[in-house]
Amino acid sequence: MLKTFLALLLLAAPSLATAAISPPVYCRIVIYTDYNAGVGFFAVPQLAPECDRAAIGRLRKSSTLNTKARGAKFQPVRPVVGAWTVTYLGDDVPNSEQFMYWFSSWEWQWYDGKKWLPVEVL
Amino acid sequence: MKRLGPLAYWDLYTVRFILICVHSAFAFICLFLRPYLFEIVHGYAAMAALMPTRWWGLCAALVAICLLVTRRWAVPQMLAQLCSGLLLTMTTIAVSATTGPNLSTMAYGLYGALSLWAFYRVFSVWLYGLKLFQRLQNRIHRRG
Repeated sequence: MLKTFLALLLLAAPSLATAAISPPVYCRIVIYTDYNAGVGFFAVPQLAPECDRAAIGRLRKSSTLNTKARGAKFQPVRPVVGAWTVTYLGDDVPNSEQFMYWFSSWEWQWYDGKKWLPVEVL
Repeated sequence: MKRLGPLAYWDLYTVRFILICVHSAFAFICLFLRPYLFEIVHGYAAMAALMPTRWWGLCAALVAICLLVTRRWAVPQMLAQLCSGLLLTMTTIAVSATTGPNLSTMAYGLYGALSLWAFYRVFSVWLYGLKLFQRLQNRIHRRG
């Protein structure tokens, strides 16, 4: 019994270790315009075509007009703590945030693990 | 030759009208309303692998225009009907290969079948009226 347990532990240990230490892979995100209406469109964030099916992307919106104290750009989500997640199966961005007016000035940004980069809007 | 009434072949013309509407709606969706539909919806991945959504919309618009402007019972209209049927049948196969049969693939399949049926009716009349075809038939069926 003990031997079986130890054998199982030996077998399972490497996979557990790799699961514990492997960092999340943040992949590039592209945004497709969908439901083009007269005044706006519905932004659909998706992982870029080169990404793996299991990859994760981190996404946020940043205002290009409004600033907070000392000229910091206004972001509706906090950059480190709360960004939205995009996977192959979907995203957790609220619908109200996804509807964009053509005349509003929001920049979508994705996180590559070190810095925030602008998202390509197709 | 017997003179035909105004309602002769009404079924063919109704099918052609329906197909023009279907292709126009498809073209409007692919060109303007949802220009990345096949890239976004995973069920349409096979379509996106063949061509971008806007190109599919362009094809549908071209077919709709050809169906609209060509003369009845003329060869260009037969070709347009054949293109329409092939486009719809290919869409049916490409989508249902990914998603399995569902209501939308059944609708595509129904329109494809209607289109090919309309093509067959016009094409067969044209084919049996061809002198060359009649000569070949005579040669085949000649006795002795």
